[in-house]
Amino acid sequence: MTARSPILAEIRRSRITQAALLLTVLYCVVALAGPWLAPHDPTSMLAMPRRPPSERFWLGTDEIGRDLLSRLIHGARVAFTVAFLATAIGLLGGAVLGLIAAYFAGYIDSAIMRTMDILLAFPGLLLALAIIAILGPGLTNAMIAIGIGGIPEYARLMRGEVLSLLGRDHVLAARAMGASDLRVMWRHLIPFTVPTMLVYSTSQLARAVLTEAGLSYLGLGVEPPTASWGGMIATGQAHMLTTPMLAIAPGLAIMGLVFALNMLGDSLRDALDPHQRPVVGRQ
Amino acid sequence: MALLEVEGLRTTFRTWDGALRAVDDVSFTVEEGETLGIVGESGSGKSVMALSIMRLVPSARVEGKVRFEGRDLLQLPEEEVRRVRGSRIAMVFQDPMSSLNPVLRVGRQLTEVIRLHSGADAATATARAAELLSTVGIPEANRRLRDYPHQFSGGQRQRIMIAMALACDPALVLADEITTALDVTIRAQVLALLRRLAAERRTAFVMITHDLGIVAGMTNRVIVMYGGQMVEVAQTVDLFANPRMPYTWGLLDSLPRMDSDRTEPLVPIEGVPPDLVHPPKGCRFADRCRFAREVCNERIPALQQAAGAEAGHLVRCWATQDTPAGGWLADVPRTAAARA
Repeated sequence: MTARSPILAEIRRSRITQAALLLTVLYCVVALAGPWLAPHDPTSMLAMPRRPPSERFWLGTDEIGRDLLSRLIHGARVAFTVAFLATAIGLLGGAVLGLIAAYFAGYIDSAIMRTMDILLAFPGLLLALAIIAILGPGLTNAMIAIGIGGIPEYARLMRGEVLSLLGRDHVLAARAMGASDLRVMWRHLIPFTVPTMLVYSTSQLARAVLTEAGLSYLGLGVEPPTASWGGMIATGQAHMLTTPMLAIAPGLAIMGLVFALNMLGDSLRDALDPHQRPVVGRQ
Repeated sequence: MALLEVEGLRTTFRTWDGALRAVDDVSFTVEEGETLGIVGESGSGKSVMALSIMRLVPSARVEGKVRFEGRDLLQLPEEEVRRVRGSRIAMVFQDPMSSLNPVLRVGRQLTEVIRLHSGADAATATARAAELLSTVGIPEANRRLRDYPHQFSGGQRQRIMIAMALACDPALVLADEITTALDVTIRAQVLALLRRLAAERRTAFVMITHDLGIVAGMTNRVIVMYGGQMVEVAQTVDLFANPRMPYTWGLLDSLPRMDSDRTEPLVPIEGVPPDLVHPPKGCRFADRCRFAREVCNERIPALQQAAGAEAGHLVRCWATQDTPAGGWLADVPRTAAARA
């Protein structure tokens, strides 16, 4: 394997990586092709409530007679949408703030990082709850709330990365050649932070999936009748003793996705961590 | 008017222990096309001085005047200084292995500098970049522009850095220990390249180094720095023929010489450089100086004409200045004093 594609090398090397990748791809396909994959309309009442699995309803029907499998499939779309957009909000916001804090140092640094510390003092879900209390419930607001919750960690990570990069010769050399602040950031700082930010983003995706499920469970995320895994657990748990499938199926769906994303993150870190790779280019 | 006039340059860092003055009252001029050497051991303030001139020292207070082409760089707005950097004053750093951005093609890095300062279009900049690479002696320049830094050797990378520094025909190049990281044969090649460029383009160079061999071969004038201060200034020929500061004697004696007996041991300078947060009251070298007398520890000598030397040969040393308080080594020839 060439040193150029450490990610490919890692995939080739590790069975766990292969399994995690396969599972993630599977979830992605389900989420993307959901409307075509789902056998039924996820919001229509098609049969008697809480039917056991049958040929027509592979996982049975839910508490008001909707197809459970179709709802699970559509729930994947919600989970992915929220996870990706929320992570993107956190990544962009945090990266920009962290970069500015590290680059301009001094008072700007203190102001940004102390604000981040305040945000960090709240547990993730609590912060999301507080933001939703201000913005109101709903899919978009849930995304924003989870995204903002992710900003402080991203900012800290980015700041640390950039601080260590600022001491490098090529950054100083670029400034000595007359490069502007923006050019230094864009050309000589940001590209070097990508691996770290990417690795952290995979675990952030998993965390966003969990937080969205939590919010929907509390009824603050996706509004009914749209299917979401967290909401399905909330309504399903009332029937835990008679029809456990209603809560267990979405629970397993969440667990599988979070597991796959976390494993993928670990593998990515193994592949991209410069400390675990032979240094290229130095004799 | 000189190309660069540095006057009373002081660079102070704030540290937990107090103010650290890394550059203390340094003044000198560089004429167009001249090569000035700045020598001193690690921590003597050479590099910080160069960075101060470029206004690239983070979080330090820089005072004094740095007049370049008639304008004081320390007073200019950041935007203006940026236009000077890379186009009128360029800088080459010590470690060629890390001075290039590893994820950008060399051609890209060269053309960006050219386009930044000249506004040339991509094709013109590429042609110019290729021309620069051949100028610094990299064969097949057009093809190599598409290579990444790790595909070049250390010596080649330093040539690329020099090419980049010369991209916009600067009037002044600050070369900070540029040959320290290279092996001896490559060092000779790079120095020959610099000599050729200096002669052809009338570019002024400030060679910052701890290698007196480079100073002897490359420079017109030399400044010896110690503990952030200038301690001796002379024409290069004078400095080697008649060094007046005991610290300079030490530097010279710690080098092997062609004409000395090979069994004769090299003489290191004993002791360590001074603590710049709490600098000594008197001469900064007094602690390590074999010729120090009481006055050396009490009062700091001024930088002035050395006794028994060419005019303009300045020294910051009680022993070799012709003053009422000092001058006890004023007429000792250097070799005799060093062997004493």
